[in-house]
Amino acid sequence: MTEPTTLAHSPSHALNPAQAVLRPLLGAAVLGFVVLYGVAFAESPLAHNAAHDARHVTVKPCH
Amino acid sequence: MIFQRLIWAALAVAVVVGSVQSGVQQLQAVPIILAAEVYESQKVEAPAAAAAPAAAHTHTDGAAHTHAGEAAKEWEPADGAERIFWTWVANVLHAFSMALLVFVVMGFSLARGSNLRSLTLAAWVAAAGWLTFHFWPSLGLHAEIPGMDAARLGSRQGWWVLAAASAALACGSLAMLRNPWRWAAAAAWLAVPYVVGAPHIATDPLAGFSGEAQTALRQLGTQFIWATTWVSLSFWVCMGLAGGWAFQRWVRPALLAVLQRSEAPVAGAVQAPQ
Repeated sequence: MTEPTTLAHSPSHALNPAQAVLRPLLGAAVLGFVVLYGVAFAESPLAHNAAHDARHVTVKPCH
Repeated sequence: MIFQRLIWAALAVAVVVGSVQSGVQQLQAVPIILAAEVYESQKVEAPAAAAAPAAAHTHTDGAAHTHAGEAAKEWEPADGAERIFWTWVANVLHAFSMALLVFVVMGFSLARGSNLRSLTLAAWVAAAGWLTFHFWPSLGLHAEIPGMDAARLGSRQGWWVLAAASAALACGSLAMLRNPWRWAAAAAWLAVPYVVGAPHIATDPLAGFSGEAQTALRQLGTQFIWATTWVSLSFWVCMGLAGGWAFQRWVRPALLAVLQRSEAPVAGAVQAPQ
């Protein structure tokens, strides 16, 4: 959708600067939430037992 | 290239912050957990536990059992070095997720034209992180020690997410809106989870214990709230310092290299740096 602008401003790059910065930031945010879910919320007994003390100390609902 | 930088920088910060957190909590919070687990084996089934079978947790399904009893069913780290190691792993992963989110907010601020120094920006983001991920959810759902009864796990997790999301939106309103009403908007967001109300059971969370154990656990519970407060404060101070340093060293140059590649204004950069 922003292809024409991108090409006009920086022909050597596929993404304009805003996209080139926002995409990796978005990816990092998604990864951050996935890891947080695994450590703090996943109900799998393995995840719960391994992270038990960390969950209690970081005040996540645990039991 | 930016994504890789974010990952490696967050990992470096996570090892430092997670290790410091492990050290701090090993000294003051973990002894409280271990002390509470000694009493946990004396627990008799509380009326509240019977009333909430949906919690489906092993702590509520039997008259009296210990964590050692659970080990027969599911793996759990052995007390001592193994347990300390897995707690460290969990702390580092938790710090990794927080560092990633801190970098995302800092990177987004930079893309919007913030001209704050990395350390100053990191301090603001870390303060928002403490409010979002510790203080605001913990105010409604206090830190729990093992053995306490509580409302159904899913409902508490849901409320925790609501409280954290509301606090994050409040911080976002203050940081991004220029309207004088932004304070009202932030206050309204902060009120949302408390208008909904945190899920609590009607009975005493320690009803399953008698006499001496109940008194001791109540004391441990209060100590644990303070212990977790100090852990979270040291965690977010470390995160601000290490995160600010790592962002300045690795992330900021990569972001600026791309942002300055073109003179075209970045979308959303309404407020240009003076």
